[in-house]
Amino acid sequence: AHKVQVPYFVFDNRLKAFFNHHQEFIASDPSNESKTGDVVVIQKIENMVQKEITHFISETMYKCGDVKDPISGEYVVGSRTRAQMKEIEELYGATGNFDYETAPERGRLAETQDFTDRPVYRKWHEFEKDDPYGIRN
Amino acid sequence: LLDSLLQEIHRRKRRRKMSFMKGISPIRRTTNYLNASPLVLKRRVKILTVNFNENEEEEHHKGARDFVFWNLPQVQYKNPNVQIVTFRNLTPSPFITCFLEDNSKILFDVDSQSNKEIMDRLVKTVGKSKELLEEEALASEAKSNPANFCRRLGFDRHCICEMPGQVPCPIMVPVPKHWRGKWWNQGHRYEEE
Repeated sequence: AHKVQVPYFVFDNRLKAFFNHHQEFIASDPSNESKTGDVVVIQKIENMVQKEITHFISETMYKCGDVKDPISGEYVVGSRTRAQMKEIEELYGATGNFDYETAPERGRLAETQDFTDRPVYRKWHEFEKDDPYGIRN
Repeated sequence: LLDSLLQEIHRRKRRRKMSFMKGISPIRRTTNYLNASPLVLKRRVKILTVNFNENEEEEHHKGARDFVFWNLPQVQYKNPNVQIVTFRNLTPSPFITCFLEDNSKILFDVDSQSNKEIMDRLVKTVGKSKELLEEEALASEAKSNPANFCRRLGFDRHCICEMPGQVPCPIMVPVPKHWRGKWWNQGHRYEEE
């Protein structure tokens, strides 16, 4: 289950302008592929199993770091495609830049050194087994 | 008299600045402008997403940028139940996505189109037609009949008992027994007083 933050606009009647508000939902992930930072489309569950999980992730629009342009279908970084970036690098003769093709998939340090996938808590006692998700201030 | 005159002068000096003129292009913050959009999305459109880049040098995004700046508040005002999201600087080309009820998507490639062209295109594909909008306007006029009661549904009066000259509310003044259906049906009308 992932916590998904949904932005929506609320109209202020006095100022006659829209302001950004957020609502958080807990969505289950049937494909188990979503990571923090992905842009997803969530849908309401018809028959709720758990009270807290109200939605499920029906579609991943953009994966964090591997954004695919829906029109051309190519991997894209900002205002350039990855192919364009590589071409520019070759023209400049750059060496040692990050190579998207040979780099391993994102998230390989998920449980070893990157402890951001689960919420973190403050640790007040040292147990025998050290939990990396507990932080000593 | 002198005191009240002084008070008035004070009040005039302490004038608040008009909140209308604040911000860039505050015409966008008028009800007349917000109501002026022809785009009322069809009921099956649930989410509208606009992808564009903010860099001024990218001319092919200018139409999308203008659309977001000038027309998006209008669209959201006319469609308060549609979620509108903007994504900035994600992809090299601008596009608009509409997510429909049945989980399908409509992609509008909006590269190098002006915001007027984008608006016309959206009205043509996912917007309610002018005739339909006129019909709906007529139907909604009939609903807002001031002769109706029920404050919960948005009308002015909750019951006819609050109008002067009508029978007062039975909470305040009990209704004569022989007017009540209970008295009538329980056979009290046959009793001899």
